[in-house]
Amino acid sequence: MNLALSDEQQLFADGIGRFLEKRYAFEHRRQMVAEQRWGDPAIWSALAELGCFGIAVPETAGGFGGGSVEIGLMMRALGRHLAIEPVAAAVVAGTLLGGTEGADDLIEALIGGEMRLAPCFDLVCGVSGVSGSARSLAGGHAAHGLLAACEQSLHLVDPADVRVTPVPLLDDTIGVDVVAEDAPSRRLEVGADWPRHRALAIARGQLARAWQALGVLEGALDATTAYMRERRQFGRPLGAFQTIQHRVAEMTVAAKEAEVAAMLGALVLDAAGPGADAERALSAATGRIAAASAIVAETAVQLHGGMGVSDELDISARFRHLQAFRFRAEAVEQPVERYAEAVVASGAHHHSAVLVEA
Amino acid sequence: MDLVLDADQRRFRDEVRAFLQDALTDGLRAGQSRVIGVYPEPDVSLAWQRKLFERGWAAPTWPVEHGGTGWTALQRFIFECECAQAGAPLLYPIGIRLVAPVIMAFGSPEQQARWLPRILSGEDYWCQGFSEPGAGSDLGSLSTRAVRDGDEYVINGSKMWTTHAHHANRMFALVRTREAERPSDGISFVAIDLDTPGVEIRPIISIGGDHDVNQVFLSDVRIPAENLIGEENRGWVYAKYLLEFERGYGLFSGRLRASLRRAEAALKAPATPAQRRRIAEVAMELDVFEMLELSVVGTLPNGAAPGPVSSVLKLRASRLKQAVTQLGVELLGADGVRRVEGSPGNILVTDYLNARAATIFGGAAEVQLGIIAKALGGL
Ligand SMILES: Cc1cc2nc3c(=O)[nH]c(=O)nc-3n(C[C@H](O)[C@H](O)[C@H](O)COP(=O)(O)OP(=O)(O)OC[C@H]3O[C@@H](n4cnc5c(N)ncnc54)[C@H](O)[C@@H]3O)c2cc1C
Repeated sequence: MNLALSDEQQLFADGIGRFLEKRYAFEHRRQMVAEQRWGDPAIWSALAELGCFGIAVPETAGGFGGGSVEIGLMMRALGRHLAIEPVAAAVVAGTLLGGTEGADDLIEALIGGEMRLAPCFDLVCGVSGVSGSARSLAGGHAAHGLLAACEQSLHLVDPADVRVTPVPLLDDTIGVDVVAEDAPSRRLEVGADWPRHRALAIARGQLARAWQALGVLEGALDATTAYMRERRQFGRPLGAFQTIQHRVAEMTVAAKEAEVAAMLGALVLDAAGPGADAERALSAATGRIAAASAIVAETAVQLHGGMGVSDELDISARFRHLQAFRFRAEAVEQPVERYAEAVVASGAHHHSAVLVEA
Repeated sequence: MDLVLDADQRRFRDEVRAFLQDALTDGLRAGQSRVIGVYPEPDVSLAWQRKLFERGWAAPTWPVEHGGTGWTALQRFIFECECAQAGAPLLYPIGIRLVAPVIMAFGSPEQQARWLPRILSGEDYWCQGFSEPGAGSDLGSLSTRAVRDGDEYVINGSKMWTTHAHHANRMFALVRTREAERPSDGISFVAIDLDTPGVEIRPIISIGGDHDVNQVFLSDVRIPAENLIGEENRGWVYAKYLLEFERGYGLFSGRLRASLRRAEAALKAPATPAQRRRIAEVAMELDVFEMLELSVVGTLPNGAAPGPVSSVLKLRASRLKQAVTQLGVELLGADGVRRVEGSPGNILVTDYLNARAATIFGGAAEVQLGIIAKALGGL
């Protein structure tokens, strides 16, 4: 066990953070959102150069073989800068493709940033083609391909062969509704361990969204703390009032909890792989980050006064992102339900959550 | 960054397990399972401390030179987790975890030699004399006075809420040795032997109906000047140092998990789906809190003070203690009104009542929030 970031992990995180700090201006984002764009192609290429899309692909498949911690650090930085580009979808796609044979062309295009793929777990892969529907699918807008990750197989579907309707989403991204009826597809070769790969991809998707939310909420906390130091009313900084101090402190505690929750999810998934332990850790992480999101988002808006409910600052965008995270995770019900049925029912919660067996 | 225990860490864990298998008797386990206050009674905790002492494991947070284990923080984490999991008694921390770091950092070599071995062996049982009737959250305003008289200090005043003073033979106390512009600048940190004439201890009964805390009256109590720890009038600095160890150095997650197990064990029928969801909510918080402890305490160098993040740990631990005990009485349902002495239900009810103190002692939750806003938020 080792709880410090490795030098490589630190460098990778710093690199992305520095890049976004310099290049990801909120004004530019505002314009993209107004024009309902999927994101910025130049940013996408630069993220490819930084290694963002190879992280989730194993080295044996031509990727950089990162783990959950690398994925998490990357998503946290993207969340802090409110990036709208569908990087979480690329993480899931990379993980799925890592479980295939003979898809080197796709992997190369994914890692190079030439192809944006939207993974989808809701479709059915039959003998006559891919069918079914998906709602509010992330990363589907203007994607080059849909990856239908079925229980037994993986298929690449051309968006032109299915009905794709763009839908603006609460987090300022554009999702799609998909309807497929016996759509033709390229069937990708998968091995006997496909179910495990698919489970890993689902887990990483959940993890990526959680770390992204962490970044968004840490940004909201920092902005609020700074605002409380600067903004003066009644002849003194607002931060001098005890009621404000206590609310900021509650945000700080929530953000700290969210941070370690995200770490718990990542470290257990890496240590134990997809399975019961990871399911437990990810349920706990999602549930607690969702709870922290509610506290931080609501307090950040409240303490910014009128500015908090306007689109002048990024606070309102952070609020929308964090609520979208909660709705998507069905945060109030689903993680608790899953934990109750999978963990409490078996008594596993009577044992340490962190001292897991590899 | 990874969670997987390496070969050495696994070997260590197995060593701890083997020791627990051997040394932990049913009687000790039963003693811990009946705890309804903050700490077990001394007959339970000292019996366990003696076994740990024989093994050389009584002070996991101390350096080897003073008889500690010299373990890494991670070893200590594994140790505490295994002990709690096995149902071992909680060690009484006021000597080992609270005052010992102050004695090591600020006490003279003579004081270290006089007090530390006896803390380790359990011969001395210390209590904490900080709070007073007129000084709780605003501890700096305390008024118990110590006046120098030759080789002695003469102490007058009263200490309040003193946990286990009725079991203790020594008390460390904050006393006023000078009037200063800032009240906290005139405080000193002293040790008082409780068998000194002029010390009177009166019980205070808790909300749960038991006797854990006391008021201690000090009337013309004479202590030798060599019982001053560190420098005169610097006591506030030492007190703040001590409070970091009090608030953010315990490892509570294993103990909280044991409380959760105890609460569930009182269920008469298998948990309903609704009860399982309530248990899940608390267990999820607990899992994340365990990671918080591991990532903060589990990465500190041996013996190092945790800093202001200790207030985050304190706040989370105290709220979770309340959440776990609240769940305990919820699971009892209407039987939560029955207070049959010694029954499993009554243990849960009493623990629930006494847990209300968790957000008050060691600095009230509001005080922790103030520290967090200032130290971590810069407000
Ligand atoms: C079970 C138990 C064991 C204890 N053991 C010991 C011990 O062994 N040794 C020892 O020295 N002390 C001990 N204490 C005392 C403990 O540290 C004090 O109770 C605590 O510091 C609060 O002081 P108080 O009770 O005087 O409350 P007060 O200071 O009177 O405060 C009352 C309430 O007001 C609020 N409040 C206080 N200050 C502020 C503020 N600045 N801003 C906003 N709200 C505020 C809080 O909600 C607080 O609970 C123990 C207490 C309990 C309950």
